Amino acid sequence: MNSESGRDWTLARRQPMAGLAVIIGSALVRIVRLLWPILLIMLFRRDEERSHTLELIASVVPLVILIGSILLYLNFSFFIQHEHLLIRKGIFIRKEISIPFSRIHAVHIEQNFIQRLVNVVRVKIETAGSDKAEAVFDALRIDEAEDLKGILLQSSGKQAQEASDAELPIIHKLTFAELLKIGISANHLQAFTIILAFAISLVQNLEEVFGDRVVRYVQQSYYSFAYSLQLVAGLVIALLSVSILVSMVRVILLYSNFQLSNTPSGLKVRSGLINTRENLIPPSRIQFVAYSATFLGRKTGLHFFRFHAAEPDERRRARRQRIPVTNAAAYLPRLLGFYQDEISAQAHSSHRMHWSYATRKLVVQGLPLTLIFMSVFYINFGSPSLFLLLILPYIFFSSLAYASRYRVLIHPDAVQVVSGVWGRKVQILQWHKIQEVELSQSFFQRRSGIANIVLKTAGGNITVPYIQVQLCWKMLNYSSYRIIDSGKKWM
Amino acid sequence: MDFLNEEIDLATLPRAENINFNPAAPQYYHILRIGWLISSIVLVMVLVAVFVFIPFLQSTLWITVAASCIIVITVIHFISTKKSYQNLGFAIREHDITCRSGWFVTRIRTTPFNRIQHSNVMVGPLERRYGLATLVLYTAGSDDADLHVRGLRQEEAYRLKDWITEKVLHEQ
Repeated sequence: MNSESGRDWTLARRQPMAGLAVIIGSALVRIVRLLWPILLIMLFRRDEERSHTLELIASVVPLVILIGSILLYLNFSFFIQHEHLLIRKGIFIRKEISIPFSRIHAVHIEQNFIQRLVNVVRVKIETAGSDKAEAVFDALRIDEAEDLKGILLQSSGKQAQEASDAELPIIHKLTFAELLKIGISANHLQAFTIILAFAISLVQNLEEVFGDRVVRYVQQSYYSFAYSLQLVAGLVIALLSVSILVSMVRVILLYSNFQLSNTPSGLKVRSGLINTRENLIPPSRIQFVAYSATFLGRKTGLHFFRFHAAEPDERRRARRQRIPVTNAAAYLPRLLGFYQDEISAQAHSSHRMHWSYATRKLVVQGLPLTLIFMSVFYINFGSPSLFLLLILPYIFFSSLAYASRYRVLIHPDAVQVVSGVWGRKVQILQWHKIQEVELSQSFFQRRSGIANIVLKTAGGNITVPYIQVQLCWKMLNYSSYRIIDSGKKWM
Repeated sequence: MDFLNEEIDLATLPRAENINFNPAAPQYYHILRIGWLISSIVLVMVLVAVFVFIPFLQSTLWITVAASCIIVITVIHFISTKKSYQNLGFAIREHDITCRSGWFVTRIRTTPFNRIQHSNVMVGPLERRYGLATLVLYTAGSDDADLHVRGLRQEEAYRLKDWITEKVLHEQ
């Protein structure tokens, strides 16, 4: 099969030589990732501890990884035959993968830092079946990749003539000021947990290497200056400022060069400074949409939008790209237009959450949490820890505020859930996208005539807790009716 | 009528709250009781181990407290096992299947046949002994969106599976 550019794809070919550089580069990254604790020890240990095991590991492992990846490169070839993409790979066990064009769902093109240096891209081929059949080319030249993408999608009869002039950017690059805005109103707690997790994994790495000697040392030094309040306060402030810095860097890495465009085969999201990620979201795959803003975000007009597309794998669902929207008034309606317009205005009815949500939060979350914290702090600090009792009214009143601001809006085509105390989160789901409805009612809820409903879709679940049981039944009945009567496919 | 009556009259919609559920096979109660017995024994064993290895706890007070806790927990568990068996059931309507389970938290799950991807009959070791089976209906939703119809007699489970497979083909 010859493409427009005159390339003959029926001949088996390897990835270009530049690809070798990428493969060696990523092998080096892998080596460093694997061996850094050992390298660290080799740098800092005392002379009497010298043994040759570490040197041996430090030289053999990289060699094996390097040779392995070069062999993998040499043994990787691909070609096109009878509407199938064929890939041969493997060192000891040769494998041939054959992907029929008709099963190819999407072709993603990505570029990371190393790939950008040698001007190649990674091509990921997503199929309708399991994740295993998915093919990845680590290094193809850009023109090659575009060419291949054209052939793969064109022949499958999909509307894939992705001419670049048909791409209408919806959101162009974000300006540096906008990036700063995102960075400041980002969730610093998240960055904090990432740092904490990193610190924990660091300790674990050291522990594995040094044995419990390090742990004992850390514990000793911990006891020698623990419980000094200044130290704790200093640590918290330091961690917080590092968190803010980290989330700033994260935002810049993630959202520089951000672009959202409308292509014939779906919405294309591209972003990233060092690792460029590109996602294609065909409109039919969108199961529900959500957008949210923190308190600061609401004040500055910064929202995050998310298309919850059908995704069988839970982990990949979590990695879905969020779309930053810096000008909500201008962009939100356009983004919603790809799925379902906001229904606040045309909603047929609006429903509230039952106030007993607050008492449940208090009993199930507040009480145990306070008891644990109080007992720990009481042992160390004595009576000042009684201040922790203030957690209880805080939890109660914030849950009460949450419950009283919570709204479920019902519309013939869709349901919209609005929540948030300081911030605001909106989820919109079309009835016919529902896969399963779960209605649950606890012993205590039964007495007050309330229940929870979970609307399950292929892109994730929407939970509506503590609403009138009659409303739950109505939603269940109506969704069954819509799923069958509308005759619309969920994908 | 407080919502959605522009498109259709809600009162005319088939009501899922009035359907009659087919109860689970009586043998399934045996399985649940065996489960209760095993978990109670494990609980007692764990507590005994705790009391043997922590001398601090070896006083009449703590032993009384623990023993009464165990009694309360196992009795509540026994009652909830019985009640949730009574609540267990499934119902089939023209276009969808509904399962009910649980007592302390009662769950009712409904999925239309045209959303079912494939189905499966699972027979565990205990179920085999009592000639029972579980029918699993997979949807495209996340992992917890798979419907488990428990406490079916084996031949009933296979018959139901065939019937649903046929139905799924028909509905799509």
